[in-house]
Amino acid sequence: MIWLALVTVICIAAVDTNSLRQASRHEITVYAALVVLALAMSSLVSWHLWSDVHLIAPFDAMFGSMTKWLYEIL
Amino acid sequence: MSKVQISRYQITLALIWSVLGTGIVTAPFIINQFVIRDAWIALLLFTVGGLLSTTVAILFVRALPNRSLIGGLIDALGPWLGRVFGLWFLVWMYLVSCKTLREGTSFVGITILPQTPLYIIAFAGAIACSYAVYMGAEVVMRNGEFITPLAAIVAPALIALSMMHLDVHNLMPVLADGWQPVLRGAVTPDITYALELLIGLQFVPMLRNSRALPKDMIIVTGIITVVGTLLGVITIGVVGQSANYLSFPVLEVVREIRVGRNIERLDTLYILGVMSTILIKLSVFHYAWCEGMKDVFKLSSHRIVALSGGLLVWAGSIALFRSQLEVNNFMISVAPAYFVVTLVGIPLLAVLVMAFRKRSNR
Repeated sequence: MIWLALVTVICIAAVDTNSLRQASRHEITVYAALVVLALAMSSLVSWHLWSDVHLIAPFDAMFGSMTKWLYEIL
Repeated sequence: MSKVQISRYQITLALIWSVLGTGIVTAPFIINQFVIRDAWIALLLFTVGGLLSTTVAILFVRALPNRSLIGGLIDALGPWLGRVFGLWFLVWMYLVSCKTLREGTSFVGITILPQTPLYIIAFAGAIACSYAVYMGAEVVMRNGEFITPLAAIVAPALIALSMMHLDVHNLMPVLADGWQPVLRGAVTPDITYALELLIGLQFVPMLRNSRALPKDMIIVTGIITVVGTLLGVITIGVVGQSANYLSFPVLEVVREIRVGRNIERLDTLYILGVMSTILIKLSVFHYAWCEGMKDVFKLSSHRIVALSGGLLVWAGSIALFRSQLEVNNFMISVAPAYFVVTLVGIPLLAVLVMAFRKRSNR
């Protein structure tokens, strides 16, 4: 998955070349942040680290008990 | 660049497919974990959630006319706090996009491409949607317009043919176990999916007639309620109690269709339809996310994040939801409260702040 992600990053950078040339510094920062996050997630899957990392656990912790309460009152 | 103009017909179709896209795949399985015989009543109650969404939309559009959901939050709550809540919404839209792509990937993987790695299937979906978003709102909306005539021909035919196998006794007795399992089964379709209709608010600045959005949401609610209830009746009427063990009960209903010796395997049409509608939903949510990113990070165009954001959705669909079971667990155990807080609590907070501001200005 990480190889596919890397190839795609190069391809989309080529497609976005014109937009990125005209983009301001903070726009490039946002763009780079999204790409880095995507690569990080791809590497999590590729290197089999994802079975140890539960990325939506914070949402489970925040809203799991509220949802349970919702079911209980029904 | 000309201002995008989305017609009432286009936004209505986009909202219908945004709910039905994954609703037809995941919702029956989730409802059947709580209730089987009376699942159709849970779907009939979609009206309640749809009207709740419409009420929030009415209040928001009145308090913040011609403003998108995230743009309105920034206007109402100020540049800093507004952007914090805007980021919260961006995370919500991103999670829904990842969940949608994961549902589509699992569906395609299980039904037609069992030997293909899931990340390849997800990649194909993400690229298609990102390209549609890159091309603009008009392309996203026209996708919905394109699929609707096909669905209008295929869906009634499949429904009519499925009814040949319907056994009304599978639906009897009605409410034998009382209302509790029905209400619990109704939580996901009638709160989680119904609140997803509020994604329409993100498109308000692009609508030709933004004040008509709540009316369109009522029409969408009516259509989804009728279609959902009909599907609920047919699914349980055909499959019966075994619906509890099926991941995709509607697919099994379509697979039952056989007319003579010549007409069978119509599930291909159903799978094509589901894939198309899931991609429409993904495009709608990804476009809304890109427009939100534009507002929160002051980008010059949504195009800057259309492709890189699509890549992030692709990676997130696999990394965040490790299996379809995790998607189902998220939808049952986390999404109802998360969606209520995000889609009812935060917009109403913005409406209250605007009302307070107006009163203090007098």
